[in-house]
Amino acid sequence: MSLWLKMGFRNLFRHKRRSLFTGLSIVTGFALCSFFIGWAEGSYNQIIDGFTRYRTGHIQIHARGYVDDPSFYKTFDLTPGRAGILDADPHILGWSPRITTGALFASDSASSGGELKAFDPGREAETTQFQRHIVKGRIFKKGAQEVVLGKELAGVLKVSPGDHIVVVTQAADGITASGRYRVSGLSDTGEKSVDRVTAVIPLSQGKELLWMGERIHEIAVTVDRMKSVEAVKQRLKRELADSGLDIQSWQEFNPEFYRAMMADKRGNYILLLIMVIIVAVGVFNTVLMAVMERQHEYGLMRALGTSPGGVFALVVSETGCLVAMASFTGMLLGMGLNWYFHVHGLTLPQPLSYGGITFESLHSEIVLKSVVLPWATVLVSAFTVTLYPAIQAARVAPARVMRSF
Amino acid sequence: MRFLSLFFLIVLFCSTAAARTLEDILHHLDDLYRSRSSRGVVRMVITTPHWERELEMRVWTRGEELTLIKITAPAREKGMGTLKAGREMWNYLPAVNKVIKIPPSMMMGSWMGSDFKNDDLVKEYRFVEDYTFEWITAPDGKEENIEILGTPRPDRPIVWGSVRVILRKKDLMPVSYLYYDQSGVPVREMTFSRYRTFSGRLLPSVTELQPLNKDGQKTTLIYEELSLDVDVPESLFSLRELRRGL
Repeated sequence: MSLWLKMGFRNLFRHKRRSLFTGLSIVTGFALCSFFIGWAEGSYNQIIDGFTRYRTGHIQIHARGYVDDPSFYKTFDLTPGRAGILDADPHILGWSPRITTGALFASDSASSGGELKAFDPGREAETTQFQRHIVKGRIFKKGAQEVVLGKELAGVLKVSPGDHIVVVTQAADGITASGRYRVSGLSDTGEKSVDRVTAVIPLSQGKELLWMGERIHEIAVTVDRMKSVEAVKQRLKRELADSGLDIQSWQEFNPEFYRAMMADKRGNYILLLIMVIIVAVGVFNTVLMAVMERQHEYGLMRALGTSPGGVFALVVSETGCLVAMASFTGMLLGMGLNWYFHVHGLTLPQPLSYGGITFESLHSEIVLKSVVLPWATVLVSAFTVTLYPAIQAARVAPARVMRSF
Repeated sequence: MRFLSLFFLIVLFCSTAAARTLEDILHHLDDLYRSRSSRGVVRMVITTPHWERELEMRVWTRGEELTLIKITAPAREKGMGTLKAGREMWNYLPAVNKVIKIPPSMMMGSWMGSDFKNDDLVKEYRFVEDYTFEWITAPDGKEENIEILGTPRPDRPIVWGSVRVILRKKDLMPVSYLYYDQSGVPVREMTFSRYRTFSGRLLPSVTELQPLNKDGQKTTLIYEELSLDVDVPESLFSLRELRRGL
């Protein structure tokens, strides 16, 4: 066998140009495929990461059933014990308790219904970097009688930073509660429907206005890497056990977004499949040509007493050597491309906005899939297409092929 | 002669009672609380699965258009008020010393956390004009109560699919209104009880409103005092008066 391998390897250099072209087609196909996978994977992860990191958090904790049917009364206590568990996890970058309720907002000239949220500015900055959404003014100071209004809501109320608005809502004990807040800034999350209704006050103000005590509606948690999400979720589930809480990752508490991403990814797989077919056909074509044009040579070998099995082994090992070298080169090239675009990113001609997060460039990612899948494609296509010519070569009638080729 | 006239009267009375048409009854219901003006003290008990609380308020009305409500208890809500003029509504919040006009988008919101919507206070529906009616139990039978089924006229902006009105035959006092949604499921029930005479008029003094799609939730409205057709100046129904302390 090693003899056939050696001969196959040497054969490659007998026809340098042909080998080079066949190899190049494999290298290009491999690298393209690899880069495509890496880039698609990278941009999806980037969008998912951006959306979860800057918007919702990776994990959210609610009272049981809150996500499916949010109610002001589905609250849970933020006890020091629970806070301690969240603080202790090394993978948690930040966590932020939140309160949400319906409210009426009124300025001197207009009023509008909407959603009142309350969170701690410091904690929210660590968790979702909410301050990035502030387009005018600044975020409220911790504990101050200040409010950040969605840009559109501020437009409806005809107020700007420095003005005051009144918030009317119902406290946890049913009392009609009202408070006056100075508008400290305006937020633009990129989603008009959100900015049209949302106003945010400091957590302590919210607790006071709504008579919440230590009760809250939600804790958003951001972890260090997307890969930690599941592990942290499981750990929190274990440690915060039997407490009537729903601890959900972004796939669960934001199923629409998850499904949209998955649908998009599936669309990409079709594109990937087409790409794989193109690469396979390319490899098929060149390998087939390389074998077919050497019918004469195989006929001669047979005439000189090489066994059919030997010819078969020779053709297969020749292709094998070529594929091995070319796909290795292709892998290096593909990974190089992925690495380059992972570091530098591909600047988009127009910034892409998804869910209120703007992406100016997309970065690719080096994932195992971007190596394994092209390998599989190239190997399978190269060997299937080699089998037929190899069998043909093994079965040639020496006299006939030497006459006609 | 005397005898004859008495007889006449009886005949006359009997015939009106028998010929009491559906429309008469509806007019009667529509005008039940109607007065030139009124002044009252009302207690509102709101029960939810999460809390129960009681509001005490004074209410003034003038015609159909003008209503002023001021909360007198509990302390945390004392001084809050609502002014309704025509189809517009304002709330006064003493804590921030501010009058807020209720925007159209909040009309379906609850009034002071009760099961009454802001809309319930503003809208003036009249059975006679907004519904078409048919008998379920006509007054000619032996039953104590009359039952009527009302269906909103198609061009009216009414959210209910139909309403079932039950009232006592002997004095035409309402017993309950049962509201159904478009698919025929009962969603809201209003029950009346403790009939009392206010300013010479018999009225239910307790109204209980129960949303049937929310478990354990109801609002009870109790008229402690009510004087009808008393002198209530029109100037009372102003934003200035709304702001004024009690």
